Amino acid sequence: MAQLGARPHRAAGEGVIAPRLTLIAGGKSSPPVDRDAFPGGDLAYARALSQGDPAAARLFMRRNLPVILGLARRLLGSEAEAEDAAQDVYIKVWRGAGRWQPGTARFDSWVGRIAINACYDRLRRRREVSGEVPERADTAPLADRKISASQTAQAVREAVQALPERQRLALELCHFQEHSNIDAAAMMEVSVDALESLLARARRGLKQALADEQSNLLSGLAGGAHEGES
Amino acid sequence: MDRTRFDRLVSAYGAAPSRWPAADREAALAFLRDHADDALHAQLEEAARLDRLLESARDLTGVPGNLEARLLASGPGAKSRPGMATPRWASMAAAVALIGGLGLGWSFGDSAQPDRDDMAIYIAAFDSLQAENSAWVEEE
Repeated sequence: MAQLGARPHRAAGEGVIAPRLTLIAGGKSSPPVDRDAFPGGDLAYARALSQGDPAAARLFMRRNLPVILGLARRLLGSEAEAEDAAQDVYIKVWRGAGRWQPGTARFDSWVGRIAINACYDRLRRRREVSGEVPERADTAPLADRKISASQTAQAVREAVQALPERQRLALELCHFQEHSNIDAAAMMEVSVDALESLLARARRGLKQALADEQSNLLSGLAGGAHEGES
Repeated sequence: MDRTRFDRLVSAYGAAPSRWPAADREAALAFLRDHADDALHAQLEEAARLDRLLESARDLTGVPGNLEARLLASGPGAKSRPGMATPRWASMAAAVALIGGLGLGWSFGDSAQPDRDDMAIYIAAFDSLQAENSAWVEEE
C-alpha cells in the first residue's frame, strides 16, 4: 500500500512549501502481476468459465474470489453470510459469463457488480425478515485509557460498518481494494462524481464518528507497533 | 487543478497521492507544490490521520481454505444435490422428453380410446350408483 509517508514540509531556503512524499513499498506502484491473466484475454476467460473449464475456475478463485469475499464481508458484516454470498456469485457468474461481452464493462467489474447485487439482495431480505434498520455502531468515546492496536482496528471497523451501505461499498472498493475510481464507479453503476461524493461523505462520517477518540486510537496504533517490535 | 478540485480529491481519496486518480495526480502534485499553505497542510495531515486509522481496519482474513473447494463443488461438473445449480443440458433434456411424450401420446392416442361396448358398461355402472346415492340421500 502506497502511503503518504511524510507530511509536506517547508523546504529550506525556498519561499514555498514543497511536499515530501515517500512511497512505502507494496502499493499500486509495483508492476502489474500477469499471473492473473487468462490466455486469450477476458472474453476467453468468460467463455471458459461458462463452460466449466477447470483452469478458468481455479483462476476465478485466485483472481475474483478475494474481491468478492472482501466486498461481502464489508457489506454483510458476517463471515458465514459472506461465504454464502460468494457461492451465489460464483454460480451466477458461471451461468451468465457466456453472455458477457467486452466493451461495456471489464469482466472483473461485471463480476464485482454481480457481487454487489448479491449482497444488496441479502441485505434487503435481511431487512424484510427482521425489519432490521441498519444500526450505527456505538461510537461513544473509548475510556480514557491506553488501547491496543487491535482495539483501534476494531473501533474503526465498527465505525466503517456503521456507515450507510453505499458509502461503505465505495470505501471498500476504492480504499481497501484499491480499484481505480473508474472501475469502482462501473461496479457501483454510478458516475465518478457520484462515487467521489460517496467517498467524501464516508470519510467525513468516519471523521465525525472517531473524532472524540482519534488521538487515543492513533496512540493505540503506535503502541501496537511498539508491542510488535519488542 | 484548482483548490476546489484539490479539496475534493483529498476529501474523497485521502492524503496519499498514490490513491488519487491517475488522471489528476500530476496536476494535484503540481498544485500542492505551488499552492501549499498552512490550511492545505492541515487538511492533508487530517486526511493522513484518517488514512492510518482506515489501514488498521483492513481485512486481512483472506479466503478460508475450505471455501474454494466448496465453490468448486457447487459449480459446473459437480454432482447434483439439493440447492445446487442445474446443469445447462438439463433444460434441453427436459424439453426433448416433453416433446417425445407428446408425440407418442398423439400417435397412439386413437388406440387408447375405449370401444363402444366398454363405454356402455361404464355408463350403466355410474347410472346405477347415482340412483343408489339418490335413494340413500332421500332416506335421510
